[in-house]
Amino acid sequence: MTSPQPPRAWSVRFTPHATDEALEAAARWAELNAPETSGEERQQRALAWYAGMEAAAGTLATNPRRFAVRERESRLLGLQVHALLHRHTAGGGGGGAYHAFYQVEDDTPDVPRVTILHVRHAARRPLTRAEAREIQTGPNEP
Amino acid sequence: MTAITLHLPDDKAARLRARAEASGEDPDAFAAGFAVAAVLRALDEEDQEDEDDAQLADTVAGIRRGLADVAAGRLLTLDEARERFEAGLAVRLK
Repeated sequence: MTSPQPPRAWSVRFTPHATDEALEAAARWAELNAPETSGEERQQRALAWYAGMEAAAGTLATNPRRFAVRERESRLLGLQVHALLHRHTAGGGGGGAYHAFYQVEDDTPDVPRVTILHVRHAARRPLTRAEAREIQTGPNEP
Repeated sequence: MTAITLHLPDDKAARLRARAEASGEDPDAFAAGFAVAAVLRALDEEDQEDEDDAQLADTVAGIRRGLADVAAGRLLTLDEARERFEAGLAVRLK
């Protein structure tokens, strides 16, 4: 008779790159949703945003493949990438939806690992040339 | 103003004319409106495809930067990531 297997667990890691993107996303969210508040209040809001993202990432320690593989990105990269969708709704204001792109590795030397690679707003689009030019030169005079 | 000539198969032209007559509009103006709408829709779809492609490229570039961290062994535990976040936030929102 065999004893039941303990549930499998993956260690969850962030890359510095993804952490910095989460920082920028949280800071921008706090600034946009609470522009009249103090710096300390915005920090608290950003920390709450991050706590939500961290908690969502933490759930990937079990069953990390429950979020679908991103087919187009995976095809271009030549490896399987999943995307967790995080919606921040606490603290009022439109929380917005954010994607955390991650990789699941079962064959690492120590324990299986989930790595958060990239964090971005789900609706974020790249700058247009005109927007990039405006940032470089300042807004056009009317 | 750009002039647009509309070429339609006979059956579709007849349906368009019938629809224009039913609505009491001049068939030529009605058809021109349809043509413009179709062209604008096609251009919108083209813009959307361009935007989707640009967004995909941007996402892939972001993931590649994360993979470069992995390749260099730069990985943070959840506690380490939070410490980095909090330290950065104190500077970013001071």
